[in-house]
Amino acid sequence: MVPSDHFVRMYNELFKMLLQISEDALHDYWLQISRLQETIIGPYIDKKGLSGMYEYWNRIKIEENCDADLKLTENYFEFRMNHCPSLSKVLDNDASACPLYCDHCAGWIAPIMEKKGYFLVYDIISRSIPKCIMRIYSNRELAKEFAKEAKLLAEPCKQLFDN
Amino acid sequence: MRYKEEGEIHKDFHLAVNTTINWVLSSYGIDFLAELFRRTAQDVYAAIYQKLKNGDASEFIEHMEYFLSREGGEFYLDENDSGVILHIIKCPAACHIKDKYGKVPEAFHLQTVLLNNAWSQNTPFIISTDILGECECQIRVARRKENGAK
Repeated sequence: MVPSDHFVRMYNELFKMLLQISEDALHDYWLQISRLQETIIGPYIDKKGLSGMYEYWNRIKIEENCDADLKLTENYFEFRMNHCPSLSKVLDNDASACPLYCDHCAGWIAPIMEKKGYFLVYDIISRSIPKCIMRIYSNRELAKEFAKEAKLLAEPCKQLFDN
Repeated sequence: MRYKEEGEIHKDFHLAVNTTINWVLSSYGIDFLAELFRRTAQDVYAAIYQKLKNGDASEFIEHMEYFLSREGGEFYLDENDSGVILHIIKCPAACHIKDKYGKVPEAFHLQTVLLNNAWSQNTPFIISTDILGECECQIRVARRKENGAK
């Protein structure tokens, strides 16, 4: 059994193996995880929109022992990670961290938000510091404005600026 | 023990393990999956593996007991002259899958089989896995017999 606590370290090994094949292979895997996650978070979004996201990520904050602040406004839901347990475990690891480890969050969240009609802005800040800021907007222009402030915008969010 | 997490538990990670096993098998096959669990067993759990190589199974046993207990599993340990038998009556990972999906895919057990195979490689131990039911298995940790020994 891979303990729940250690999934992320196994996950990180798979990221490195897939990255040796190509970045597309890694993105294909994140898309598969996104499909699984949609079955879990989808009903929260369908029923309550941004408020449902708050509810889902509040549960995650507790279950994954996150040091994080959540905020809900009329226009966006924010998850501000002060200390990410996932990256912390991957860095506290006898195996090395995948250089694109942090990108997996946006990698699975963005496709769901796109389907549900929301706009993800994911500021990784740094790939070696376990802090990040995620905002999900109901309005594309507001999302684009916030994305301009990002220190390190996750790749899938750059679609916001297409067209 | 190298990794000893505390606090709350997010058991849905077992769903992600299930998705991962199925996806890797269908996209890249069994050898790729075996390599994933080899890296996990030998590189991530380097402390467990190093001790096994040195003939010491204590950290492996401690790891299994700690995380099975932490996730509410039911199990017992038997020790005899031939080694240690860990009988897992209710595997918390498999039980979570059964609760969510109604059944446990056979491939889900590959995580345990392949981790144990990798922990056995180039060590004085054979760590074998017998799947006894959807949520039940037996893990035997036995010393390899020397050449010529009966």
